[in-house]
Amino acid sequence: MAAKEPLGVSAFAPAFRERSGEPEWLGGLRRDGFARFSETGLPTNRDEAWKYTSLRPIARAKYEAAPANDDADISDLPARMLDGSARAVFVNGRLAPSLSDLSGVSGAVSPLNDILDEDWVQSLLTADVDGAQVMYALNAALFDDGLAIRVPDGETLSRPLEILYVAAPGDRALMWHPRMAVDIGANASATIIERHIGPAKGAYLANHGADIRVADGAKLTHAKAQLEGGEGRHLAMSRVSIGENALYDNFVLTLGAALSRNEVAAKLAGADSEVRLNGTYRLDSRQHADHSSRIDHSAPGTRSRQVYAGAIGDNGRGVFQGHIVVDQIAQQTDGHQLNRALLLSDHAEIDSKPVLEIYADDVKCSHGATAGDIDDDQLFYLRARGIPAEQARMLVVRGFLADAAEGMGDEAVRTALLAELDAALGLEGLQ
Amino acid sequence: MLEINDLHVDVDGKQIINGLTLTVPAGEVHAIMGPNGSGKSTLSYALAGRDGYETTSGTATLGGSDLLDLDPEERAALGLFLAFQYPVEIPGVAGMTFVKTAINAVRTARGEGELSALDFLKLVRARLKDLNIDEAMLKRPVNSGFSGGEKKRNEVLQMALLEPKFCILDETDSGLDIDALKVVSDGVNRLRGPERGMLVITHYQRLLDYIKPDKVHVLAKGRIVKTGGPELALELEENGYGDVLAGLAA
Repeated sequence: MAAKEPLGVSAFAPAFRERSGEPEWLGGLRRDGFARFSETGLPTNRDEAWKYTSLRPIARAKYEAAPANDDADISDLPARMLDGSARAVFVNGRLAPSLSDLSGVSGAVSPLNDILDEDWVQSLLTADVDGAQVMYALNAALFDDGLAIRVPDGETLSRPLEILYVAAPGDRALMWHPRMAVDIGANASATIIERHIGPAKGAYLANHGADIRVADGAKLTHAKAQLEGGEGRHLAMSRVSIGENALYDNFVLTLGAALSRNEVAAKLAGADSEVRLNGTYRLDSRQHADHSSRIDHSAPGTRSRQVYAGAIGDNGRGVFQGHIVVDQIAQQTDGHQLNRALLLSDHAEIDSKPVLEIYADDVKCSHGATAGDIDDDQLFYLRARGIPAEQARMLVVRGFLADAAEGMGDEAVRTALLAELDAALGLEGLQ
Repeated sequence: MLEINDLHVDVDGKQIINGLTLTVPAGEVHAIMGPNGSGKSTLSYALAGRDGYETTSGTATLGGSDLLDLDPEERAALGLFLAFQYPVEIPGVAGMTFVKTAINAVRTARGEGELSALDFLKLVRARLKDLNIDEAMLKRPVNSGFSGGEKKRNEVLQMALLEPKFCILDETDSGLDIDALKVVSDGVNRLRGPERGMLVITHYQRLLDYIKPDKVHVLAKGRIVKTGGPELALELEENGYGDVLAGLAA
């Protein structure tokens, strides 16, 4: 009797194909990626790393690879999140040059497909990183398009870069697997802010993969506003390597999608390097959002800070999994993680799973998780000043969520993200 | 103005206010003094409409309108203001956002329409200047990490901005040193006027050196047991509450 096929493999097999004209290494990466996916299939609750987030519904959805949209015509793009930023626009996972404005950054930002033969791209995409997930392997097998960002040593990306991913799925369930490669050279710096948007109706799967290197003394601010459509599913995995005295400052705002998982695997490879992973999520009816991270402290004197705060209403469900590994060599590690959840209904759920794996003896590590109801004292205080109950609740939620954003070091980015949050809470115009 | 008649209030099934009757006419400042546990804070919360403070009988009206059936925000719109004994910290919400939301909510409820951004800013700057408060305070999250003095000044600022008809000051002197007490009292005194009534709730006479009351009431076991002029406060300061309470038992 034939063994049962791993979940979802036949659903994705039609999208996997040999591509002519690609470098040999990429062909190998794609074959390895699909082989890995074929072995295990879509993750379900049986996989420890996916204990609270099953991708079983994805197997049933029968997503087709989105066709090329040569004449992407999206007339009503939202205004840029940051004044003066450059913007790359993707529609259904493919770069739309006619909608993009890369003036001032065109030397540093390129379509990934145009520079696949460059060594740095190969070295980033093929680097081994602990904790890489099977959906990331599937992204390698299937990506059609992507963006490559390279800031040379000692330079600063002259404008912040917004990457706007627009979903326009139409009648059929579509999927796309965009890739991003980012190389911030020694003592260089850049600000990248992703925004993912989609319509209320229309099923799709966006499965993102990113490979990021922050070299010695460099700084990367990398933020994301996930405002996918209500029937959208959003998976994203970033693998980040951080050099000596470098900083990777990451923030994710999760508001959209029926199902989402944002995962970061960061390796503090150089001494005295730092990673900040912060996030805020607001979930409602039938929304499931998973924030997972793995941080490897692989050098002495490294620091990690993670604060995720979520407000979950109706029957929404939030998941936080934070895994910190401290290598034997990584003395004087300082690692902290915290997940705080506000449960706004009796059916809301939060699952927190912190894991600390420590092999060094001189370290400071902590983790914490809280779950609770809206603070009655705060609510009464606001109402006693004349603010109606529902608006007062929204303000309390806003305050709870915004507090986590304090960890994002770049004030302009923080303000832009909070503006998105306020719009979602119906509090726009208050700042 | 504020009329309370035979008020009974339960908290967690326990009767704390026990037949309290009190009238504060417009333009007057009355003080309520009482020992710990006499029901001072319960009275202020019950008047402001906090959940869990159940009125079992009696009435309370402000300017003739019944207070007790209203939500806290409706009482605020009617012109009632409670300066909290322990102002609440709200991290993540800027003070400016908070006062703007409150002012516009109250104006909307009164059918006055929201203030334009410019008019709002003018109003805020004028009140900040009156009270000699730096605008930086409103850029910080509400009360978050504030000192005791800053919190109480913030309460007075909100009071000045919302222009209530009636103010209840719940132990406004608690946690204040003498300098902060003077600053806060000056702010309160600026708001005294012929149209506005105030109820100053305090354990100590000290506050009443700075906010001179027209009348002083002694609260014990949930009701007013003695009423007099400002001299009553001095008497209590000298002799403690023992005499009054002993007289009650007799």
